[in-house]
Amino acid sequence: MKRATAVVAALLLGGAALLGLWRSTTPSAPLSLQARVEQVSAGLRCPTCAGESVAVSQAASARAARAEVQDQLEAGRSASQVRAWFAERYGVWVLLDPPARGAGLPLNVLPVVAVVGGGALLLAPRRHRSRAAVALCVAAAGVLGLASVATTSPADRTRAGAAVPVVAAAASASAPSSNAPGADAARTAVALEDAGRLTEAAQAYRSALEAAPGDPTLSVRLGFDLLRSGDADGAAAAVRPVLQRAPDLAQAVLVLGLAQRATGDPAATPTLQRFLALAPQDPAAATVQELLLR
Amino acid sequence: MTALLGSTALAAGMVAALLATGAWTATARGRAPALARRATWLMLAGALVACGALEVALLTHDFSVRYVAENGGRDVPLLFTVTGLWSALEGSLLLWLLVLCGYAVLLARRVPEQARHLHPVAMAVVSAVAAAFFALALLAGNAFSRVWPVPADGPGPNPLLQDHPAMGIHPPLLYVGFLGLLVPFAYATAALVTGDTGPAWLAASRRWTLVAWSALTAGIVLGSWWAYAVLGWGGYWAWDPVENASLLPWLTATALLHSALISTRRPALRLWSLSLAGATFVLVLVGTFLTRSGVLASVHSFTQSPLGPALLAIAVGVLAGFTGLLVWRADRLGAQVPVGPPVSRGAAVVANNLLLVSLAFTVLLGTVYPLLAEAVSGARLSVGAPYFNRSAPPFALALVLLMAVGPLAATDGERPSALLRRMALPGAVALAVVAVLGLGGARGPTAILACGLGAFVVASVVVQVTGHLRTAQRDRTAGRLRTAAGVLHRRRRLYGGLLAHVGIALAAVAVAASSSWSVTAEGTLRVGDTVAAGDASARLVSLDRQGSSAGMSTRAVLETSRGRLAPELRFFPKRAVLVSSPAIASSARGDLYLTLVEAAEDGRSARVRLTVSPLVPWLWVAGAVIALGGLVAAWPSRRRTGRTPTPLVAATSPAAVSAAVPAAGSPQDRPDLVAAP
Amino acid sequence: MSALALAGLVGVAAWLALSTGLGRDLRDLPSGLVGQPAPALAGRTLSGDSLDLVDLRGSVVLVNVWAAWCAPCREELPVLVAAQRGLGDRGLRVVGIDTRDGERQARELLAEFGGDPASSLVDPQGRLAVQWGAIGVPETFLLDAAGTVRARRIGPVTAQWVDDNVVPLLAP
Repeated sequence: MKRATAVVAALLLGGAALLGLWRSTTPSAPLSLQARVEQVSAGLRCPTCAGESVAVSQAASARAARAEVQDQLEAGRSASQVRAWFAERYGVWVLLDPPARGAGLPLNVLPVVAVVGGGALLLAPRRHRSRAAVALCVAAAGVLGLASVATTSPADRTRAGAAVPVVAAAASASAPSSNAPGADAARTAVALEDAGRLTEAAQAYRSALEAAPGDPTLSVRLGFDLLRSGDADGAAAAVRPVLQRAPDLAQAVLVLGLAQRATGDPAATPTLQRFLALAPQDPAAATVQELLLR
Repeated sequence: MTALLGSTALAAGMVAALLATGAWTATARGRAPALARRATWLMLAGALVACGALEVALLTHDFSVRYVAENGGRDVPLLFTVTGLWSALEGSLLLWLLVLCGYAVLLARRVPEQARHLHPVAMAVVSAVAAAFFALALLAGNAFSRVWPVPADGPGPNPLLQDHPAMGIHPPLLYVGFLGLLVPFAYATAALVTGDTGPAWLAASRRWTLVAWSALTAGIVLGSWWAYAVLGWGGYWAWDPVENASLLPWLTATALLHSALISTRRPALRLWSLSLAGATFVLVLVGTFLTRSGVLASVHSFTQSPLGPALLAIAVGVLAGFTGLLVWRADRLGAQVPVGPPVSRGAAVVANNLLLVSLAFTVLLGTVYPLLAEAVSGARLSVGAPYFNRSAPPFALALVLLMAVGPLAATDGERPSALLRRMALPGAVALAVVAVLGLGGARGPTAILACGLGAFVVASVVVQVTGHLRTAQRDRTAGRLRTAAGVLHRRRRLYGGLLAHVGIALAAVAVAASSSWSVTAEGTLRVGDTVAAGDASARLVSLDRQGSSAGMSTRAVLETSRGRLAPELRFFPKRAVLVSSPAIASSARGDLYLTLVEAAEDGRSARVRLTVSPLVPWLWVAGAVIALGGLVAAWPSRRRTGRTPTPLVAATSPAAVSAAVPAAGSPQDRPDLVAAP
Repeated sequence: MSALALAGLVGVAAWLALSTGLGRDLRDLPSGLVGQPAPALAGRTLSGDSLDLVDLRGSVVLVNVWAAWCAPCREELPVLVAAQRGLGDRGLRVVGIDTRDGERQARELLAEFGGDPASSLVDPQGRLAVQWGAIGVPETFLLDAAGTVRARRIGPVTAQWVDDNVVPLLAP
């Protein structure tokens, strides 16, 4: 009897705690502009100071950068777009939390390898321990190898990558509709992409596409996401089925063109020209025009 | 004259340190220690005279000494003239030497009963390190080099360092912490050299480690207090390389203190504890290199100097030497004993070590990653606060959870249900705190979890201590109060640890609350205008400018809900530095933090930033509590001499221990682990 | 033996990893803009007229971020003035961004060296410098006739640098 009371009390208390935690994840009010400026600035390195962020520094250049962040956020650009804008000008060096790809990959993966691998090493039965240690070293080496491959890949890829955030701004206008199948996964994906977690976003888009196969908006967004993370082939593959059914969908043509350009496919120029012909008023059109001029 | 004296003292100190290294090595082979002791004293004398000479040069404004010309000034207040000794690179190296030699003399005087054979070797290691730093101070960064022509005045120390009394004790405390960690390293090296890798080296170095750890804790917290009160951006921890460099050895030293609790019993952890002692001191050296050589840009970093390569050489030499010793003695490190039962205090310590070391690894990785990435692929990257703010909290939360559960677990394993029963009450408190905060509208799951886990730790400590006291009262032979005092005194090692846990829980709550629930507002105010953040507001009353010989300052007076506050913006023309000094109103609920961002040329309006940060003052309290916990645990036993080591006491569960307190004693109480003079 | 080898290996690795930072120079910082189309640049100049980079398409342009309070800028100003005089006929335009500066001091400095106030944009808040990703002053961007950034130089421009980088882009 006493035991049953204890179990019920524990369940109730645990349930209340979980409910409280869940409630705390939804913000009570959208962040003020000032708070968002602060947040974005805290992630940007002050260009003229010694290792301070734009949010903290008193330097004039930091003040100018803060004003730039504020203007862009006021104009409706997202936090990740503002970050991309700075990275385009100053290089990735300006971001205080480097994106988890290329040279920034080990930074984000190695801590996980350390704690998971270390735990596995401790829990592994003694006679397998040396094998576990080898596995740990292999995993760490794998991460490092992947990173160095990614950083030394052709310059084309990074160049296309830099152009994509600009064009991606155009895509964000058409967010996935809310009551379509897979809408939750799609919203998650958009949020992830916004947070710069591109790989996870791609996965979320893919699962959303499972619920709504061939959805043009989702496919295009997946394409942009893959372009940003440097996977041009994947991006082309993502929009091809859409283009078979709707060959004149301008955004899909744009993704295909950028993907072809990134892989050095000579078909890139005609594809991008077709995009310009289809959507001359698109916000991305000017950038594409510049890409073609080069 | 003073310069010559100083250089001579450094040279003499270096010779003495080399002599001491040789003499202690000879002592290890059976010679009498008299010469070695004398040489050690001479080292201290050299460092003292060198520091004294530079102080005299600073106080007499002897600008012919380059260090004084660059860091002294005629109109600098006395306190900051004295602290000028450690406000720049070369001078702080002298303070470093003074602390190092102070430790050497203290260590030479205390020969631990049960580690007599390790003592001379450890002393030789300390002397060798001292010799290396004397050489560094003399050859690579001599504070006594001359300048010609002699300037009439100097710029004074960096104005940021002149602003707060904490600057007077923060660097010395940090150095006491950093260099105290040389002691466990020296004993660990001695253990490897002599081949006695048993628990003796841990016992001999335990109190040194605790004192150093307490000083380092206090130094780190004072440093963040200084940053909060002086730098004016409203935060106290920016994950700056200098801050990280002090945090890294703190993390591994914390791991060492915990692994030492059980590695006397588990040979499997011997290798681990030795590695931790080595890693801790290597991290002290690497941190010093990273922050003193200019390789990492930092607000705190001193300018580039030839010290960089020399410091790196010392760090790399120590790392390579210690690794070599570990490999050489691999056969004596006994990896045959399994880690132990999964539900036990030992398992909690192992998990704690895994987390602390992984966290240290993450912080180190983030700190040196820009260098590594550039070395490997030429990529230029920056790693700053957002990375650490994202990566560190999961480790920190898991560690706080372990702090609540670990001490409740039985030393040698038990059924999970027994542990669960002991956890029930503190666990319920934790869940209730989470539920109340979450349902009450607080935002941010990380912050709420931190508060819940903090409550968990405190409740679990209260449950343990009241349990002990109740048992003692039941069996008491003396008065009620005396019995309680007796328990508290007898088990001070355990209670010192628990006190530190409470401090860390408090710090976790303060950090979570102030970083997640602070509100900031910024506005350009004319006199009479108001800026509001959360439930606080500030009205600009007046704005006045003053010019003095030391510089220009603009002072804004604001009427707030907590009285008048006057943040300032000061310009130091001698160094062309603009300092925004905040004004802070503290209370137990939190701080109201006002900074003057900008003042208009016409003196009519000012840009003001108002931040309401909940619970910040508790962070400083927490720092004091943590350091106090370390000191309580290190407090010497009254019985200092003549006790032969007792065999290791068989382990019992905490419940059983508390039932049998006066008789059995737990591993925390073992008097033979106290270093006897 | 293995102890010695491993110790040596650890030592060498640590040395290599940590010593890269010694003597590192900020000037090596790569610009994100090189190879990209130049950002927009338009506004009021020191002479009070307006200037837009778009109108200079077809010319090779040196965009120079400078200020009168910056000593190295005084050092490079004669080089830039000479480049504009000597290479202007071959299609070179030097455009200044006078950043976070007093306009009077800036005009005085230009007058002293014969620079043209009509080709320097005023940037009192430093916003243009940020839009160009400038790390400090002086800093110079080289744009080809199509408006693509071809090179970036941190620190004062030298005659040698102009010969090596600018001249090959110009009409013969």
